Amino acid sequence: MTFLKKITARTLIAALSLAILPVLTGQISDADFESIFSRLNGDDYDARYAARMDLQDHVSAASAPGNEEQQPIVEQQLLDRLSSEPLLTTKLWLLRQLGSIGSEVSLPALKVLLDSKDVELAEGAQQAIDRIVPTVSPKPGFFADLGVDELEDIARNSANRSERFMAFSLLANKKAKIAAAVMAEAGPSAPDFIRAAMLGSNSNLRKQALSQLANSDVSHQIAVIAALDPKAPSSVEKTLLELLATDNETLELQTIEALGRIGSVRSLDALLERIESRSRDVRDAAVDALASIADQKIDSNLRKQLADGEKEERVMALKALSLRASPGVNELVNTYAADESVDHELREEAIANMELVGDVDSFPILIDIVVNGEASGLRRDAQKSLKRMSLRLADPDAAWNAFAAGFEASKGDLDTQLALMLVSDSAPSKDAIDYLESAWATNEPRIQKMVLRVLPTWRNWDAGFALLELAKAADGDSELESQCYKGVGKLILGSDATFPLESKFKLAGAALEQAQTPADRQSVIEGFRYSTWRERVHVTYNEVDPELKEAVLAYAKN
Amino acid sequence: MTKTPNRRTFLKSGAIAMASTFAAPMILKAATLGRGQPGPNSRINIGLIGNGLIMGGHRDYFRAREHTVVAAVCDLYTDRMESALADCRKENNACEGYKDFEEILARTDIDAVVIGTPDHWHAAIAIAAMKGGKDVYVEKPMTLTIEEGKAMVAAEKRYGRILQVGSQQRSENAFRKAAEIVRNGWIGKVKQVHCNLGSFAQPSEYPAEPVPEGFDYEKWLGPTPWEPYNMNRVESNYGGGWRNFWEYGSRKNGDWGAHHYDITQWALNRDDSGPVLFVPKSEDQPYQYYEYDDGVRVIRDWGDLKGHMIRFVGEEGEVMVSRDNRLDTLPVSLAGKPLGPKDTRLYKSTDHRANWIEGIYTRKPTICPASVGHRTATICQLAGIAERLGRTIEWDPVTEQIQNDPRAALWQDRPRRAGYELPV
Repeated sequence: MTFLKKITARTLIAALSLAILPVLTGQISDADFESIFSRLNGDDYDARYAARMDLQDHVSAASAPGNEEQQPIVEQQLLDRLSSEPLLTTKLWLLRQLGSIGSEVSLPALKVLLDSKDVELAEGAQQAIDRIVPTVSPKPGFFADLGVDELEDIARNSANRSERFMAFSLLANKKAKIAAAVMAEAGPSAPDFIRAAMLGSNSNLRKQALSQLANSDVSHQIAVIAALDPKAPSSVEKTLLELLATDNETLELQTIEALGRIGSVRSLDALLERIESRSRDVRDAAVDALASIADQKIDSNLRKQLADGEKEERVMALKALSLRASPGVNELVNTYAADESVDHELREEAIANMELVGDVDSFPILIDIVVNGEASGLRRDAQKSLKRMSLRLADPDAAWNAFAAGFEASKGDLDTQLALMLVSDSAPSKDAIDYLESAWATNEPRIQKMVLRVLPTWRNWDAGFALLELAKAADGDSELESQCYKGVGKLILGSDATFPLESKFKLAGAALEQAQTPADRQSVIEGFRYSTWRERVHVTYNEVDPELKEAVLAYAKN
Repeated sequence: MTKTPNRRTFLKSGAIAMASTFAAPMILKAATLGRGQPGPNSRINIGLIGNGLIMGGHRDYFRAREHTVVAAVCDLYTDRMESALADCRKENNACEGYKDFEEILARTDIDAVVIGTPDHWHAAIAIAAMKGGKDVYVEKPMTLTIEEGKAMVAAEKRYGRILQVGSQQRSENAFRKAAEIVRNGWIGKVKQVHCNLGSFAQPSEYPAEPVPEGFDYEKWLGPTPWEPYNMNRVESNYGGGWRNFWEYGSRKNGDWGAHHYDITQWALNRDDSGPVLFVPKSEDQPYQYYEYDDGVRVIRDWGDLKGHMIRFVGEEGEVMVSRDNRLDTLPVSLAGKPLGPKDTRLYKSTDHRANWIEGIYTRKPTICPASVGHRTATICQLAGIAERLGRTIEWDPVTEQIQNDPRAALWQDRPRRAGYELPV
């Protein structure tokens, strides 16, 4: 018999599993094992942690699907090591790995450890056992076995709100009539019960809960209102509209909000009344509700009102359509704003509503009103809308195209040019900066004053660098230079998170380097007086002007 | 130099805010529970549990509101507890301090609790609090394990409590607007989402140190495996501390993932579902990612985020969004496009804590109840499991089980030390 003939298939598999497979599928090699444990027992705590992760990686690899044959081998390797390790932390880590890869084979060794005098070791063994042999604790019945009387007693009298809620929910299924009585007489738990009833399956109980809308207790009413869904009967909308007469503002607010969810065209008038309420909360709630109601009859009604109504009704209809962003309303506001023949108030409303629904086509209309609208008294309205609408549209190039046309059209009319310049931060493009710089070069004092006024309100850092250029070109005019540095400080102060932080410090650095006087430097530094942790972190980890760094750290601290 | 316009103020109070609303968050007025000024019984008595780094903001908020009274504070550090108590007694001299949260939960006059402990204590305290009849505000991520999340969802329903998870980005206008843009299909079919989570350095084993006087380290460890005390293990620190350890959280997956994955779920309309595949870094791509069943891939810390925290890339456009109400879109007009009557409007909250208070009074679910917090936390945890095990994890979001990998499935839960079992 030759040597080869003695090798059976079984022997081959064993040899493969012990010698070849470890390399391929994750059994821990002796070298790796020794490396891990020498580090785990060493004095370098970072290395110890890394060794933990290495051991975990080996265990994870061996526990992967397809490596099932390796799991008992690795398990045995861990078990062999468990008794010989000197450090508690290493033993505990081994136990955690056994929890991840172990089987019933580990249980005898783990059970021995349960009796360890070392509490932590016993706990670790128990946790590993719990993972290998999970135990499922029986869940309590949560009052399921209790009778109606007991449930009623708990729902009425328990000191624990959750117990009252659970008992009520069970009672609602068993005896809705009694549950209704409990709900009607409930104290602090009434809102809980009302919601459970409103969302439950018993229609009588739901009806009882709904009747709480007529309750004089606001806490009951707002619980009903909060639980209303769009499938609520249409009569509910009528009740809600009646509730709006309340003198309790919370109830009014919650009712308005509910109308947004379940309301229809019937709520339109009530909401229109409130979109100009003196109370900001009521006004905002009404606006939200009006925008949220899905009923498209609202839009057709408003359009009819806009076409045929009295002047005040038309103004209100246009406003409401804009608040709803009703389809096509952008064209409506553009048309009315551009039409010099319509009522002044309607045109004014159209201009104002561009903030909400204007589009890039609104830019030239507004610019035209600024250029030609002084006589109509609408110039300021148009300027205001330009500022606000451009914030929403965020399309500086489209805005600048309109401005460029306006500047061209108003050539020779300084007042109009100044009126456009005043709001040119609505078009914060490079072209706009170039235009302002060339206007500055005319040395017209009113233009220079306006440029110094508008650049600090700019919506990006371009204006800051432009101000530095102007300071440079001031040619020793200290008053002018001072205004430029103050402008840089104002721009920094007015900036927010949409302005990149890196560029802020780049601008400040350039300004501080260029500034010639302590006062000018101070103007720039004061721009940082609302510094937060972001600025603090930046100056801590980056090279910045020492005076600026000190100031930022002090500002951020305060 | 940038050309990005400043829209923050506008987003906060302007047309976008008005035009994209659904349910207005109403700060309840003084007369909430009656016709007239509220009596002492109409204010919500709050207990603050865990007065470390993150609780400072909550404490200042709830101390200063007309509808809330901080009636109790609790911390395992005596000095922290006493400091928080001194703060709260400035408004309410009857405020009491405790080392053990169980004492707060035993008080029947406490209506609600805020939980600001490390992650490994969230579920146990939240469930015990709900069982004790308290409404709960729990910091994100809601849980440490998937099974804890299931238990939280069940408890919220069983006990009928109002729970808010502290994923406060849902209450920022820009994140809601970003989600609405995605939901309404304005950027076309979403192909991928990029999220910026950052990374922690690897922690150390750290040598044993004496436990400081007045600190209950044994209870701090709670259900987690015993380890010797070291300050670096337990400290509250945005850059590390306990957040660094797998034992007490999911590292960056749970830290920033709990925020950005949460917004991603919201925008993709997956609040009652989840991804199907979690792939660790360097498995088949140089980045970590997960995928939904429609192929949308969410990529961590890879690709150009264009200076933002989250970037949604669609077939017809993009949405980039960050904190401080920073929102950018491609095309740019999307950011300012108002929602029309037929568009999907998402739950609107502009003050996360006020939304919870409103829920306590009205019993209306919060913007981030347990069911939502659980789905988000599940993603954080599965991404962490894939990272720890170094292999792809398949997930069934319907049965909520890891598929085809029994050993990985063990990680849906973690063994707990005796005495720290999860309440039911």
